Amino acid sequence: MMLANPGGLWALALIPLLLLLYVLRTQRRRMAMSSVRLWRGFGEELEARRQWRPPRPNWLLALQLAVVVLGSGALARPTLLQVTGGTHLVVVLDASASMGATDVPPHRFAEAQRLALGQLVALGPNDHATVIRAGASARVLAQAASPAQARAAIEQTSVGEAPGDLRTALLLANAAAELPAGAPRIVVYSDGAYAPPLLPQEPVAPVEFVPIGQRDDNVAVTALALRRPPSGGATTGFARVVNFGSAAVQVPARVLVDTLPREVRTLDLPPGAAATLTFTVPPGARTVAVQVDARDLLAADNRAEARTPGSGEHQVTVVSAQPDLLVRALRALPGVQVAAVRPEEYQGARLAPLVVFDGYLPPALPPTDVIVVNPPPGGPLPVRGTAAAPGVLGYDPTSPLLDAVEPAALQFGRLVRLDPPAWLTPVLWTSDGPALLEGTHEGRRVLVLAFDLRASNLPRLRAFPLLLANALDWLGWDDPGGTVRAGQPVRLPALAAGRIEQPGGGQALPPGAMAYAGTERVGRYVVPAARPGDPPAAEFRVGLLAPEESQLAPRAQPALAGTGPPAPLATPALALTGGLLLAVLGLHVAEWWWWAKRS
Amino acid sequence: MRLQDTLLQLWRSATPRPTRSVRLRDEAFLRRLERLALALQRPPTGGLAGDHRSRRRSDAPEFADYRTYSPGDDFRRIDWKAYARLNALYYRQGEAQDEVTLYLLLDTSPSMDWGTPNKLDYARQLAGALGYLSLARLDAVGVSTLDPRAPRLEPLRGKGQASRLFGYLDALATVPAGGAVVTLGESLRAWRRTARRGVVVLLTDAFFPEDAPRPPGDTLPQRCAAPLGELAGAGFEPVLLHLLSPQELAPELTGDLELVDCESGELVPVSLTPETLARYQARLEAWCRELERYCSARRITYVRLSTATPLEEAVLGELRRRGLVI
Repeated sequence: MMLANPGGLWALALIPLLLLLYVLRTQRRRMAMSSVRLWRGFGEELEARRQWRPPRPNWLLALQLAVVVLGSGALARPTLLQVTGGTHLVVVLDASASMGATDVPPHRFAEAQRLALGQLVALGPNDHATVIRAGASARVLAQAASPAQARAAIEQTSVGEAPGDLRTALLLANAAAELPAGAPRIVVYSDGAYAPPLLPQEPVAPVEFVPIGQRDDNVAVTALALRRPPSGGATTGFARVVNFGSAAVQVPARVLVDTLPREVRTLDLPPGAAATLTFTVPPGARTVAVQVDARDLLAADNRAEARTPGSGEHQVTVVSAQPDLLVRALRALPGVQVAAVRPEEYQGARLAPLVVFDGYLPPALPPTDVIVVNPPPGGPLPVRGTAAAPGVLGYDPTSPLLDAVEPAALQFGRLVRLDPPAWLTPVLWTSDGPALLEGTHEGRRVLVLAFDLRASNLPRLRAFPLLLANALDWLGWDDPGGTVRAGQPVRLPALAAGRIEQPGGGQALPPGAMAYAGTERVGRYVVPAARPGDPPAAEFRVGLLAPEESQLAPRAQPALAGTGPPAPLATPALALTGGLLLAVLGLHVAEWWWWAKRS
Repeated sequence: MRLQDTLLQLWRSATPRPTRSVRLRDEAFLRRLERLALALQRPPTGGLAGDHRSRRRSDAPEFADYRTYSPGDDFRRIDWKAYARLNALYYRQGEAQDEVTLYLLLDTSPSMDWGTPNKLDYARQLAGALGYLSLARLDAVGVSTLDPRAPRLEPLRGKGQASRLFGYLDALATVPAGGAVVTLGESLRAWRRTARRGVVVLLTDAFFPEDAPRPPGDTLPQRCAAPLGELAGAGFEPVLLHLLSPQELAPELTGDLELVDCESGELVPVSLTPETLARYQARLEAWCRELERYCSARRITYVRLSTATPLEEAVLGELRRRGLVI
C-alpha cells in the first residue's frame, strides 16, 4: 500500500480531541421529573458533580472514532499496490561523441532515437517510460512519464561531442526502475564505445543492450601538447594520430598556427596504428591546431587545438613600491605579462585580472583575483602587528599551493600577525600566526603571503617561482597542454560573468561562477571581458582527445545482458480513497441512526 | 422562591398540557361498566338500601337465618313446618341489602401532572369509570382530593348524577408547585372526620410529601403509606391504585442530566448509563413491592397500573383480576 498524501494522517490528532470531549462534561441538561426520590443516593451522584468523567464504552464514541480513523485514511489517499500488466520502459540513450558517427545515416544517435521511438510505439496508455541521456553528464529527460512525453523528450535531445557517463546513466536507470510505474525494463542504445561501466550491485530489472553502428572507419587526433623548454627556446608541439579503423588509410595531417597552415604531412596508417607528429611552434604563435583530413565516420576527433604556452594572455598588475622581485619572478612564468604600478598611482590605474599587492593595500580590494604580500596595517585585512623570525610550525600538505615546495626551508625575517577573517584558511603557519592563507571573498580568490618578502629567504629559494606558479594554478590559470578535454569542467577567473561564447551558441553565466562544466562541444570557448576592448576574461579550447570515443567499432556489452528475470514491481492499482469515503458516509448514517434511536 | 422553583414554573408555563375530558363516551364501555360492581371485603352494616348484601337482617323475602320467636314478632314469618317437627316456634329472618359509599380520593399533587399519558388525566378517567359503575349499582359516590382546601363532591346516588361526577372530575386541577405542603396523613385525617365508612379508593403515584427529612436512599413505603393503615383501622376499606407513567417505569434517558423534582424543585445531577438505569428500575421495583407487601398486611387492596394501560383493560382486566370489581 502507498500513501499519496501521508500528511493526511495528521487528522488522527482529532482522536485525543474527541476523547477529551467525552471525558469533559458539557453543561447538563435539566429534566423535570415527577419525583427525584428514587434517583437520590446513587454512587454516581458524586461522580456526576465532577467536571470530567472516565470514558465508558459507548457506541457513539466508537462510531465517531471509526469516522476519524477512516477519514484520516481517506485524506492520506492510500493506494493499493499490486502487480499489473503495465510496463515501465527505461530508455538510456548514449549521447557520447562516438554516437555522432555517420556509418548509420544520418548518425548513430539518430538511429538510437529512431529505435527508442519504435519501442515507445508499443507502449499502451497504462505504460510509462523514463528517458535518460548519457552525455558528458547523465540527465533524466523524462521520468515515469507517458509515452507521449517520453517521445517528445527523445526527439528534442541531441548527441554530444564528449565522452559519455554511462555508469551514472545506468545508476539512474536502476533507480528509475524502482519507481512504482509498472514492470521495469531497461534498454540501452549505445555503440559500446566507452569503458565498461559498473552495473548496479542489485539491478531491479534486466538491462537490454541494443548495439548501434556498423563500421569502424575513423582516424583521430588523440593527443596534442605544446611544451616550452624551461631553459627557453622555441615551443615544441606533440600530436598523436591514430587509425582506429580496420583498414589502412593514408591521410594528410595539417598543422595550423593561428589558423594558418604551417605544415602538412601525409600519414600512412595501418589498421590500429598511431603516428606521432612533432613540430616546432614559431615564436609569437598563439594557437596551434592539428587536423587530419580524413573521410571517416567521426569528424569531432579530426581536429585538436591548443593555446601556446607563454602566449602572453595572463595579465598581472603588481602594486608595490619595490616591485622588482615580484615582477621578475612572475615574468619567468609562461604566458604572464606583468605591469608594475606604484602605490601612489594605484587610484585610476588600469588593473589586470590578477593584482599583486606588496606592502600596500587599498581600503577596498579590487574586483579581481588578488595576491597580498606583506599586508600593511589599516587595510581591509586586520593586522595585529609583526613578529620577528618565527619558525614554521606546520602546513597543509594537501594544499596545491605547496606542490614541490619545502616549507621547512622557509625563514621569515618579519611576519605580519593577522586576525584572519573567516573566509581565509591558513595553509602554512608559524609560532606567531599564519604565514600563507588562501580564500574566496565575494567571488574573488585571495592569496595572502603574510610576511615581508625581502626579509625572508624565499626570493633566494627555488620555491619562490614554484610558489607563484602554484598560486597561478590555484587561481585557475593553469593551462596544462593548452587544451581541455571535452566534458571536463574549466575554472573561470574571478568575477567572470555575463555570457560564454561556445560552439553552437552562447550561454549565460550565473554571477559568481567559478567554473564551467558545459564543455560538451569541441571548439573555442570565450568569456568576453566586462569592458569592451579588454582581452577576454577567459578563453580555452576544447577537444575530444578521448581514444575510447574514437574507437568506433561496435562492441557488444555482455556484462549488460542477462541480469536476471524482470522483477515484478508493485504498481498503483486501486485507489482506496473512494471506498474509505463511502465507509465514512456509512458510519455517519449509522451514527445518525443511533442518535435518533436514543433521542 | 428558590431558583429551582422559578425554573420549574417557567418550564410548566412553556409546556402547556392539553387536558383530556373525563367524559366516557363509549356506550359499549358504559354498558359493560353497568354490569360490574364493586367487590367488598366486608359487607356493609347499614345505610340506605342498596345492592350489596348486608350483615344486617331484615324482613326481606330472601331467607337468611332462624331465630326463636319473641312476642311481638310478625307471626306470618313463623316457620310452621319447623314447629310441627320440633314443637318450637322459629322466626324466619330475611337478608338485607345495603348501599355502599365509594370515596374516590385523587392525588392532585404536581407529581401527578407528569408523564405520557398524563397520570392525573388517567386518574380522573379511572375515577370516572369506577364512580359510574358504582352509581349504576345504587351506591353512593363521593369524590375528593388530597388537598384539604379543595372543594369536595359529597356522595351522589344514581346514574343520573354521573354528569355531576364527571363535571367535578373535569374541573380538578393540580396543586401549584411550591404551595403549602400537606402530607398524606394530614389529608386523610382531615378527610375522615366528615366521611362515613365505605370503600376509599386512593388514586395516586405514591410520591407523597414526606413528613420529615430522611436520609438519602431511604424510600421505605410504610412511612408514606402508613396513613392508609390508619384508615383501614378506622373501618374503611382502603384501595390504593398506584399509577405510574411509562417514563417512570422504564425511563429512556441518557447522558449527563440534572433532574428537577417538579414538586420540591430539588436538583439531582446524574450520569445516566445503562447500569444506572438498571439500578433505578431495581429500586423502583423494590419500592413498589414493599408498598404492596405493606398494603396486603393491612388488608389494603393494592393495584399497580401503568398509565400506558388502556382504560378498558385496566377496569375490565386488571381491577377484575385483583378482585376490586366483579
